[in-house]
Amino acid sequence: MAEPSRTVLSREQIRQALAVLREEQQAHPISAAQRRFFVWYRISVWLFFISLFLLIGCLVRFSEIPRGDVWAVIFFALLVVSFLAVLMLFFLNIKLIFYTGREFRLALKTKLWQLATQMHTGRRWPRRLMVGIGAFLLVTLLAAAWIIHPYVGIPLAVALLTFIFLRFARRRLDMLANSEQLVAYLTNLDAGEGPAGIGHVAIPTGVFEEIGAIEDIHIQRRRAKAINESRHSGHGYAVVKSRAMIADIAKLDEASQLKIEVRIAELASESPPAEATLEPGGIWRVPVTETPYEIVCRQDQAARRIDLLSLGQSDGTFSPRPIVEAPRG
Amino acid sequence: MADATNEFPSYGIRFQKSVLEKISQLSPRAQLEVYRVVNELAEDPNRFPHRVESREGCLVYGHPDPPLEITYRITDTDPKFMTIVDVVERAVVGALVVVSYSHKDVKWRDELRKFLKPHVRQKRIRIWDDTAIGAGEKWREEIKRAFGSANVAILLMSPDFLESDFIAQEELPVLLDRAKKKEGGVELRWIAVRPSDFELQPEVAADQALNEPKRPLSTLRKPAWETELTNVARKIMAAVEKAAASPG
Repeated sequence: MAEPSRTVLSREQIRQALAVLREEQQAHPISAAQRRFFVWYRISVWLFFISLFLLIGCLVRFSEIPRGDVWAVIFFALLVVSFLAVLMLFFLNIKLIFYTGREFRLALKTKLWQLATQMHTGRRWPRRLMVGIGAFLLVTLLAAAWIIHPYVGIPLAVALLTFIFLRFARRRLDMLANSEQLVAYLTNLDAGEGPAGIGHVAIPTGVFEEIGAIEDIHIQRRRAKAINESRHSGHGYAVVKSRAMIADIAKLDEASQLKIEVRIAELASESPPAEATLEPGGIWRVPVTETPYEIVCRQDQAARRIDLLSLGQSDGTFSPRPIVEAPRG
Repeated sequence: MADATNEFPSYGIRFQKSVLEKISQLSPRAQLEVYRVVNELAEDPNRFPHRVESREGCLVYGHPDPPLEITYRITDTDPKFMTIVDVVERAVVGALVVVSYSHKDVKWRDELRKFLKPHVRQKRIRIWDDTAIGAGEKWREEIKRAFGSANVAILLMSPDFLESDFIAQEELPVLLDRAKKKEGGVELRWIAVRPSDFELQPEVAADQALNEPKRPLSTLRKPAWETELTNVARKIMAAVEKAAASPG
C-alpha cells in the first residue's frame, strides 16, 4: 500500500496554526448542546415545510379542506406541531443564527463569497458553471410554481432561502467540529515529539489541507472586515517617500531600518508629533527614538500628505542628498 | 533643484488605522519585509504580476518568504496613492522551493512557475526566486537567507548558468553545503534547459536531473517540452514529499 503523502510543518508553524484554529473557534463559540439543538431545528424546519406542502396539495386538490379528510387533518396537526418546534428551537439556536447572519452580512457587504461558501482552491470556472446552471433551474422551478399557483410558489421560495441559510449554518458547524479535532491533533503533536520549539513535524497532507482551508476562511473573514472598515474609516495622511530616502534606509542595519519604517508609518496617522521640530520653509524634523536618525519631511495638510524628503542625523546634519519638491497632482 | 518626478515613487502610501497594530504583531523580519514590499509597490503596483490577485476592489499581494499577504487598494486619481488595508502572515504554508537560474533563462523560470502554480494555489509549496528581492535591498543576505531555509532547490542548467560567477560563488556553495546535510538539508534537483556541459559541475549529480540531460528543454518542440515540464513538476512534488519525510 502506498505511503500517504505528508507535508512538513515547523513547531512554530504548528503553534501559529493552533492560534488560528482557536481564534476560529472563538469566532463561533457554539457548544456541543447547542449543536444538538441545531439538528432538531433542521428536522423541525423540514417537517414544517413538508407538511405545509402536503397541506397545500390537499387545498389545491379540493379548493377547501373538506370535513373528514383525515390526511388534511394529519398534515395540519403536523404543521402546527412543527411550527411550534421551529419557534421554540429558533430561540435555542439564536446564537448560531446570529453568527450565521453576521457572516452573511459581511459577505454581502464585501462580496467575499468564500465566507459564505466552502473554500475551494481549485479552478473556479467548473464551480461557477454548476452554480449558474443550478441557479437557472431553481429560478425556472420557482417561476413555474408561481405561475401554477402562488400557494405553492411563495412557500417554495421561503423554503429555498431557508435551505440555503441552514446549509450555510451547517457548514459553519462542520468547520467548527473540524477545528476542534485539529486543535486536539496539533496539541498532541506539539507536546509529543522532540524538545519543544525545535525541529519539524511531518503531518498527512490531508490534515495539512484541512488546516489550510480553515486558515483561508480565517484570513478571508479578517480581510473582509478590514475591507469593510476601510470604506468607513479615515486613513490619516499619505506618505510619499523619496527614492533617495529609501536607498539611505536600505543601507542601515535591520533594527534601525525597522524603527525608521515604523516611525514613518506612525507619521501617516498623526499630525506632527510633539517631539518634531519645525524649521524654516515648513520642514519638519522628526526624531526616530533609539536611533541617531531623524526624518526630514514636509506636511501638506490640505492634500493630507507628507513628503518624506530625506533621512537626517539627530546632530542636525542632513544626509548628503538635496531636498527636493515632491510632484504635485 | 533635482527633477522631482525622478525623485519620488508614483504612489503615496496610506495605512488603514488597524493595519499598524497588525504589522507590529508580526516578527521583526516579517515587519521589515512588509515595509519593503510596500515601498516596491508604491514604485510600481504591477511590479509583481504573478504574486498579485484581485479580490473585490482590492489587490492581494502574496509574498513567498516569509509567507505574507498584503491587501491594498490603488487610487489612480491625482494624487495617486495606495491604501494598505490588511497584512497577515500565513501559518500553514508548504515547502519553500527556490529556483537558481541565469537571467538569460527567465523564459524557463516563468514556464516552470506556470507548471507549479496549481501546487502553489493549494498551498503545498511556495516558490522563491530573485524577483522577490527589492531594489536597494541587501540582496546577498536575502539570497543566503532564502537558500538557507529552502526545502527544495531547483537549478536551471544552461551555459549561462555555468558561466555565472555569482551563481558559482554565492548561490551554489550554500545549496551544495545544505544538500550534503542529513538533517535540515535541502533536496537539490536540476533541469537541463539548454545544452551545456553539466559535467563541469561535478557536485551536481546526473541522477538529480529532473529531465533527460541529453535532451534539454530548448531542443524540444512545444508539446514535447510541455510534457517534459509536466513530468518535472511531478518530480519536484516528489522531492517536496521526500524533504517532508526526512528529519528536520
